[in-house]
Amino acid sequence: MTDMSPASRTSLRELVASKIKKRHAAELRFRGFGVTMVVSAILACSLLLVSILSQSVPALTENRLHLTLDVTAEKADPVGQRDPIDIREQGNFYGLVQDALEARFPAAEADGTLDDLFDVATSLAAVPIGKTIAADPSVIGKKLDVTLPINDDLDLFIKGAFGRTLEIKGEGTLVSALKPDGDFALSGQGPVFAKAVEALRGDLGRAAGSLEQGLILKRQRLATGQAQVTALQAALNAATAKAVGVAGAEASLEQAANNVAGLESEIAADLATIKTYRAAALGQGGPLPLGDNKPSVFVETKTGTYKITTLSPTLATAKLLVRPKAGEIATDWKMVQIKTPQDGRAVNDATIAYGRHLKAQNAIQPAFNTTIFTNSDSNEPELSGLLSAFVGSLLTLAVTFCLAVPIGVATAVYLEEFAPKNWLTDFIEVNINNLAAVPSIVFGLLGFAVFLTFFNMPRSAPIVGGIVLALMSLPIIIIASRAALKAVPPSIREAALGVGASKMQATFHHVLPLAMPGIMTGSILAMAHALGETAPLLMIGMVAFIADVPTGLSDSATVLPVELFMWAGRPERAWEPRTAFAIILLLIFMILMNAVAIYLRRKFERRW
Amino acid sequence: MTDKQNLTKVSAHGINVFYDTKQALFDVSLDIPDGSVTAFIGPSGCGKSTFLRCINRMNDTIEKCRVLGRLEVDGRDVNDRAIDPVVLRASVGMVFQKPNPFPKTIFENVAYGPRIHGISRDKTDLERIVEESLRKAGLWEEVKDRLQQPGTGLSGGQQQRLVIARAIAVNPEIILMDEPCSALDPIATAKIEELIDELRQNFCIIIVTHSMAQAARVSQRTAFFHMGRVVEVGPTEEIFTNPRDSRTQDYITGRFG
Repeated sequence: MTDMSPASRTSLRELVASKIKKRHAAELRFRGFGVTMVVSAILACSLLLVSILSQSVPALTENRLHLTLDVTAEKADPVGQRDPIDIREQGNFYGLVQDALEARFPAAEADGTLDDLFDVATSLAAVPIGKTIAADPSVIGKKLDVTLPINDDLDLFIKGAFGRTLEIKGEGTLVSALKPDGDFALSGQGPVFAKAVEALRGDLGRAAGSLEQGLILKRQRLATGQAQVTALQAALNAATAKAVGVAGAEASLEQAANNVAGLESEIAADLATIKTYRAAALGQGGPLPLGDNKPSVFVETKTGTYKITTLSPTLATAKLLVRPKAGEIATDWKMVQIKTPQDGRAVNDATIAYGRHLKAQNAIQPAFNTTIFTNSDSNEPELSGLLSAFVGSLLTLAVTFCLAVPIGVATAVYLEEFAPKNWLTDFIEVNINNLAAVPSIVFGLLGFAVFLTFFNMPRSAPIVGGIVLALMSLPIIIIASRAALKAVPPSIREAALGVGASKMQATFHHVLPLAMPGIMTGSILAMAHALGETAPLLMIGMVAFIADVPTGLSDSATVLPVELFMWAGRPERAWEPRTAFAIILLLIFMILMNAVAIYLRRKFERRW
Repeated sequence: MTDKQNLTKVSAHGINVFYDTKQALFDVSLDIPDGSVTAFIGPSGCGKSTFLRCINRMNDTIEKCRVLGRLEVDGRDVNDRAIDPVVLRASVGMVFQKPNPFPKTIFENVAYGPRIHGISRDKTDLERIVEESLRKAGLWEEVKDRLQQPGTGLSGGQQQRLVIARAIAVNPEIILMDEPCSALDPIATAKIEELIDELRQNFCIIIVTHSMAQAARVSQRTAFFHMGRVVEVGPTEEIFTNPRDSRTQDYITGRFG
């Protein structure tokens, strides 16, 4: 290198220059990858957030029924002693609600729609009314204004979850005439239903179209089925010739033949339906038939509702859902179309009709959903809340914190500052690191085997859940604390030891306080992890229906993530937005805890 | 003064130090007199810091470090089981290469030693000790108005003097200084050297240094370490003007090291 001629130097420079382009390109590529990764991560994250947020929107508000109850003594306090316990246990508060509803729609009983009217609010919703009356028996015999959540499906309907509800204003005065079969004939001046018929025809055309689409697939399946039948027939012939396995071949052939027959009849039915739809769409074949498997069409006057069964431009036959006030002259009426057929939803037409009238009377009003914060778990979505799960989470986390943090920090301090470095401490260290990677369900199994089976501790209790989560968080806290202790410069230890501090004084006066921000950050992150943990708690029975707020460490309880796991598995549609809402609450808690961790780290961070 | 100077404060007999299997010191025997400054010089890795750390048993904190031999402070073997290193370190203070004040206030830095040893009687006594120590370290005038500010906010030279004040606050007999000026600029170095010269009145000071000029300026006696052995020890003037060993001669004239 020392005896380099100018010529060789120049060639060296050229070599470097020729490679530099490649090096820059590699760098650019690497940066491109990085940016792509970051952008896709952000996109995925925001997609997740947007989907959860949009799903939770219906759960943000709830529709509430405002009623003025006539608190009669025979229903509220059948015993008559004005004893709060008697009132709470014997009172028929749902009966009071039913009375109030019936008072608004007196004809419901005669029309046989009383059950549909009562479906507006479930009986469980009346329980808090009992508590109010029991707390103050003096309201018996007086009027009482109450507010209660409405049926979850009606609530979803009002929020528009069953598709858009079309309203067409009617012209002129609606005339209704009772027919001999109990239905009503509705008519106005001229073709008052022409617009609705037009709209429905379009719908029917589209419905026929989608059925035709489905037919293509069904025909393909039919062809495969028929081929299968032929093949199986051949197999059966062969089997009969050999006289082996005849029964089995016969059974498969029969099954395949049944399949084909089923498909053939389905196709035939579809073809017939398509034909009627097409005919109706073209205005042939008389009035449009509207069954429960088609979108519901109501005719709604100020005080009554009819459900149309057949419709032509000038005349409709209809069933009565809500009887209008006697002598009402229906000048102000409209047609209401609900996209989802009655067969496709859990709330029937009559309940919707009552709900719409109650809403028009301002007896049903939307409000911010506070139920989810103030109530505990319930079978009825509209009455369910997260309070018991939240308290359960707090109690469990308190146990976890009280166990995991002191033990974890003490272990870390001992291992890092005091323990001799030998094979035993190495072995312990390796095992702690391994424990951090153990699936959390294993800790659940351990908790089940040791605490529940061996020590006979109570099932579903925060104390056991807390211990299990503490075991799970310990390795994380120990590792984080050791890292924080290692990060304290050795010069601080030397300085303390140099002025004559004992090892313990050096550790507790100087090293530990300096490591504290890191330890706290690690601990809080471990706690946030424990807050979101579900699997180990399932093992120890914290997946339970908890309707009461737990008051102690050995009460039955559940926690937020398990609660939303349970909600996600429930069948009613109203659970879906509530689950999304619960996820958001859980995320908010996580973010809060992480924010506290960051704040503490910033606040106590020291430089040296 | 002269009486004190002739007394032997630290006396080492056949000190061998091993780091695991590697031997760092070979049979070091050395007497250090009281009331003077003794400088250890020698090339890097020659064992002078290791020997320094034997005197207050700081080597105890290093895993796998074994110290063999007899090392006496005031005639008592420091490696004796009966000697508590905490008590020993209260009488043998130490100043390190890099200034290492605690990340606390200036007052707390100095007050820490007296507080853990229970030297002060009350708050005013503690304040007196802090002021006295800072005065002795020549830092009082610079920091008296900001005692409650963090010690880490001072300049490097001030930090090193703060560390010296912290060491003398527990009133030790010996102060060990491990290259105290290697991280400082020449002006701060001059101040520290001045301070060392003043402290010599009350303390036995042992200083490890890489600067021959510093050794010549501040010390009365000098020991030259090489390859884990003491090659030569004697009055500073003699070592620098008339060394007996050729290796010493080579080192101080800059021919190696």
